[in-house]
Amino acid sequence: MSRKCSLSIVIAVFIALVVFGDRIIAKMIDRLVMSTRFRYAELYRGELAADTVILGNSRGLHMFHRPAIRDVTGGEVTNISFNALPTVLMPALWSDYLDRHPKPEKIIFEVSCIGRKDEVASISRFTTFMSHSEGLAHAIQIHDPRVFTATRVSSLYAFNNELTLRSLMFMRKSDRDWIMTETANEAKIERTIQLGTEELLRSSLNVEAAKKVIEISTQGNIPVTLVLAPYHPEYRKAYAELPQWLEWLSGELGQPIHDYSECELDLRGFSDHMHLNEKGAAEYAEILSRDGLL
Amino acid sequence: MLFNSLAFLVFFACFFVLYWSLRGTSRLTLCLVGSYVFYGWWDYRFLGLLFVSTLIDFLVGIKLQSCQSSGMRKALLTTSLVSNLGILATFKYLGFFVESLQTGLAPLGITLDWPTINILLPAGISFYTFQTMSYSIDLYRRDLQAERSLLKFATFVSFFPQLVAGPIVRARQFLPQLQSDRVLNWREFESGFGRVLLGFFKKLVIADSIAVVADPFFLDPFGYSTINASLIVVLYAFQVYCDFSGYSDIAIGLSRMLGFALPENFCAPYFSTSPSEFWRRWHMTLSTWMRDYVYVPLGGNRCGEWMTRRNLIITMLLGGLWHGASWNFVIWGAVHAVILVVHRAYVSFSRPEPEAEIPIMILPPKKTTPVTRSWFVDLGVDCLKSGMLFIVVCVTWVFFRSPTLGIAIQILTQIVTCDDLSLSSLQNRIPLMKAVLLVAIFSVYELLSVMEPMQAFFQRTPVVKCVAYAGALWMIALFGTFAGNQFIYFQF
Repeated sequence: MSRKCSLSIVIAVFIALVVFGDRIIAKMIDRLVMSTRFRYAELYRGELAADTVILGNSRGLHMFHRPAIRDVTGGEVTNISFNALPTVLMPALWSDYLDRHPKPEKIIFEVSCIGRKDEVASISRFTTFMSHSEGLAHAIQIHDPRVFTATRVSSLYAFNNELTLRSLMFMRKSDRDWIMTETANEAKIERTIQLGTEELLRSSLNVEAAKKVIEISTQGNIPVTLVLAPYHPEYRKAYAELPQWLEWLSGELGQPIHDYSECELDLRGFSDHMHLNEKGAAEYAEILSRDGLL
Repeated sequence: MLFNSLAFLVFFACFFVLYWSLRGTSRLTLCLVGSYVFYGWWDYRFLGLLFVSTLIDFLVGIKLQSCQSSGMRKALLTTSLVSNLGILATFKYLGFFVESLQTGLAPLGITLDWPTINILLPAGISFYTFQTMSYSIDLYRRDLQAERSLLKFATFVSFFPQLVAGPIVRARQFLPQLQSDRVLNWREFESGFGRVLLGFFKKLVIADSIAVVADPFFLDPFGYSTINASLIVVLYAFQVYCDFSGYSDIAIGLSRMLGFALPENFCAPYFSTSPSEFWRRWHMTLSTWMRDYVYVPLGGNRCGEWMTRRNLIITMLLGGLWHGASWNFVIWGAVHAVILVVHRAYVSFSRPEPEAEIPIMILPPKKTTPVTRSWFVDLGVDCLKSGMLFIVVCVTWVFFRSPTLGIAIQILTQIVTCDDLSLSSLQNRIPLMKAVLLVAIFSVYELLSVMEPMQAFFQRTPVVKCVAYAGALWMIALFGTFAGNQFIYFQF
C-alpha cells in the first residue's frame, strides 16, 4: 500500500472516530441528564403532574416556592420557570408540559420576563433538551440559528451549557424546591440601585410569545393568571417606568395583570433586589392565597 | 484575525493548501501577503507601521553589515533602537507617561493642561518591535549576517502564527529556515496539528471558561467573600497561563504544519520550585530576550551581589512595563523583582557556596538534585516549595489583572480579612464549579505531560495519539467557550 493511501486511511479513521464518538458520547450524556431529578428532565419524562403550574424566569422561580404554596393550598405545584428563561421558549415548554402531563387546574405566569432586555441571549442553554422537543428545537433554530447549526455539526455541543451541568448536580435530590438562601443587605441593594434599574423592553417578540402561552392555555381551558411579583421597596422606588410598562403590557396581552410590585413584605424575605428567599416566598404565598390567586 | 474565529479557520485552510502548492519566491510572497492580511484584518491602518518598522531595520541591517566604522555602527544601531522604541513609546506609553507626569506634578501645584492622549494600541506591537530590535543588536554585535532579501526579512517580522503574541523569535532561529523551501512532512504536520488542538483546548476550554467567572470579579470585586475571591484569583493563574501558553501552542503548531520550528515559550511553570526557575519556565522567549539584551549588558551577575540585585530589579521592572502602560504592571514586575532578590539572598544565606545561578535564564528544568534524602521526602519538599511559590505568584497576578491599583488592593484585602469561608458564599456557582473541574483535569494532564515515560508512551502509540486528539475535539465541543474572547496577551 502506498504511503499516501495509508495516510488517507488514517485520516478517514480519525474523522470517523471524531464523528461517531461525538454522537455516542452525546447519547450517553443525554441518557445521564434525562435520568436526573432536574425539573426539565422530569418535565420531559412526564413526572411533573400538578394542580398549579408556574411559568416565568428567575422571578417566577424564586417568588413562587413550591413548598410554600403547597402549605397554603394543599395542592400540588410545579414550577417550570428558570433563571433567565427566554420568553420565546415558554410556549414550547408549556406545550411540551401539556403533552406529557394531565391538565392542570391553572397556570400562573410571572410577566417580568417579557420586559427583559436580552430577549434570547440565554436561549442556547436549552439545547440540552432540544432532542426531546420539536418546539424547543424550532424556537432555537429561529432565534439562534448559529447555535442550532453547531448542534447539527456536533451533537456534544448541544450539552455545552449550564443546564447540563446543573442537571448533573441533581442526580439524587430534586431541584423542584430550590430557592436562594441569602438575605439582601442594605449595601447590596444600594449598590444595585446605583448601577441603575434594568431597562424594561417593549418587545413584540416577547409579547407574541406570551400571547402564545395564553393561547395554548385558552385552547386547553386552563385559566391563566398574569402576575407581576414584588420588588425590594428601595429598588421599586427607583423603577419609575414600571407602571406605564405594565399598563402597556396589559393592553397588549388583553388581560389584567395582578401587580404585586409594591407588595409589602418583610425586608428579610428578599434575597436581592428582585428575588425572594424561603421566608419571603412563604409570606408572599399567604398574600396570594388571601387574594384568591392560588 | 483571532485564532479562535471561523474567519481564521477558513483563512488557514485556504492558506495551507496554497502554501504547499507553491514553491520558492511565490511561497514566500504568499507567506508575507497572508501575514499582512491576517494582521490587517484586525486594523489595516497599522500595516503601515509594521512595514515602516520592518523597512527601517532591514536598511539598518544592510548598512550595519557593510559598515566598519564603530561610530557609524553605533549611529546605525541607535537609529534602529530609537525608531523601534519611539514607535513603542508613542503608541503604547505616551498616554501613560503624560498621565503619570500630570499626576506626579499635581501635588507640587504644577498643572499641565495637556489634552488626554488616547492612541489605539496596535496588536502585538511589543512582540514585533522586540523581534526587530534583537535583529539589529545581533548584527551590531556581529552575531548574525544581515538578510539581503526584503521579502525574507519582512516574512520573518510578520510571520502570522507568532506575529501578535509570540513566541518572540530571533532572526538567527528563523531566517535560516527561509533560505530553502520547507518540505511537507507527515510527522511534523501531525505533531503540529496536535499542538494546535492542545492550544485550542487550553484557550477555549480552560482559559475562556475561567474568564466567565474571573472577568466580572476583577471588574467589580465588591460583595465577594474571602473564599470566593481566593478561588477566583487561583483560577486566574490558570486562565492567564492557559490563555498565553495556548496561543503559543497554536503558533508553534501552525508553524510546524507549515514546516517551521518556533522556540518553546512555556514549560509547566507552576511546577517550579523557585522564583528563578519560574522565569526559566514562563514566557521563555521574553525571559531570554531580557537576559540577552538587558540583564547581561547591565552586568548580569558578574559585578557582585549588590549590582546583581540592581540588574535584576531593573530587568524585572522593564519586563513589567513591557506588558502594559500601567503602574499595575510596574508593581507586578517590582513584586517579582523583590521575590527574586529575597530568594537569592535566602539561597546564599542557607548555602554558604550557592550554585551559580543566573536568575533570568533559559535552561532545561533541573532533572536531578543531589540525593541527600529519600525521593519521597524530596518530592514532598518540592511540592511544598511549588505550592508556596504558586501562592506568591497568584498574589502577583492580582496586580497584573486588576484594572486599577485600588481594585488590586481591595481584592487582596478581601482575601486577607477572612470574612466568609463558607462554600455557601460562592457566587456564580455552576460556572465556578465548571472552571474548577476543568482546571483539575488540566492539572492532571500537565502533570502527565512532564513525565518522560508518559511522553514516550504517547509518542510511540498512534492509537493513543488518535484518541487523545479526538478527545481534545470532544472536550472543545462539550466545554469550549465560543464567545470569540481575545487572547490576554494581544493587548501587549
